[in-house]
Amino acid sequence: MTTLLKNNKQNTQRFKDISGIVGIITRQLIGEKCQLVRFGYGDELCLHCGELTNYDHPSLQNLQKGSWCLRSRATPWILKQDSKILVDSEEPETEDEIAIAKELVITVLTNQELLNIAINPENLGLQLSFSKKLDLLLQPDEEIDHDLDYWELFTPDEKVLKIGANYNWSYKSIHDRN
Amino acid sequence: MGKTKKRDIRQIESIAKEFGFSDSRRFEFGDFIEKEKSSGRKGSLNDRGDFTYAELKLKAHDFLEQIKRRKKS
Repeated sequence: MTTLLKNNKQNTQRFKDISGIVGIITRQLIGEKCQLVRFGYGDELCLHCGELTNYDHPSLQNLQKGSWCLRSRATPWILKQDSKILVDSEEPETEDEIAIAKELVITVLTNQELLNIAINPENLGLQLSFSKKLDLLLQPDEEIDHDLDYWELFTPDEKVLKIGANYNWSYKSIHDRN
Repeated sequence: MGKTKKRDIRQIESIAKEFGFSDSRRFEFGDFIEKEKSSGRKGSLNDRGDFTYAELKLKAHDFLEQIKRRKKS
């Protein structure tokens, strides 16, 4: 019982730390438009905001990326409009269903303004609120998501914020080797 | 989406660790792999054109080789 209380206290403190850090880092992101929405390998949802620049790599020079980029990793997410679910990432199963869902997300979220970011103290999920009453909710599954970060945010000052299981987080240069 | 994405994303993570990629390189490599797939240079893992781990390693060599060639030119 004492250990449980101690762990809860530690987690509460860790959440306060993470919440504060996320608030500071994302302050400049609020008000930016979601310029590009793209799905990466493994159907990872990537939201690009801020100034768009070309990739460095020779094979990717016709692609652009935002100065801010939020990547969902393998975390399940839901896109809602006015509280109604538009897309639940866990629902589409066939190739056609997945393609339709992706197209809908791209169409609906592109060019929408980010109005607020809130982090869930229970599971470290994110709620991103956009114009047109759109909400994107990243909902980590605490039971199975221990080996991948829940989500990561690349920032204009060439840093990346990573939030993962057990209230683990890091904020470091994107050029550091892993 | 779907049920296989964790495997795909984990594999990119593993390749990034194996090749000592920074987060910046990993970011680009993931998009490079997706572009390879969408350009028809698909993998043999399944009908979707996903890659086996061995194929991803070859792609990582190709990815790095292109960077080296550009630096030389």
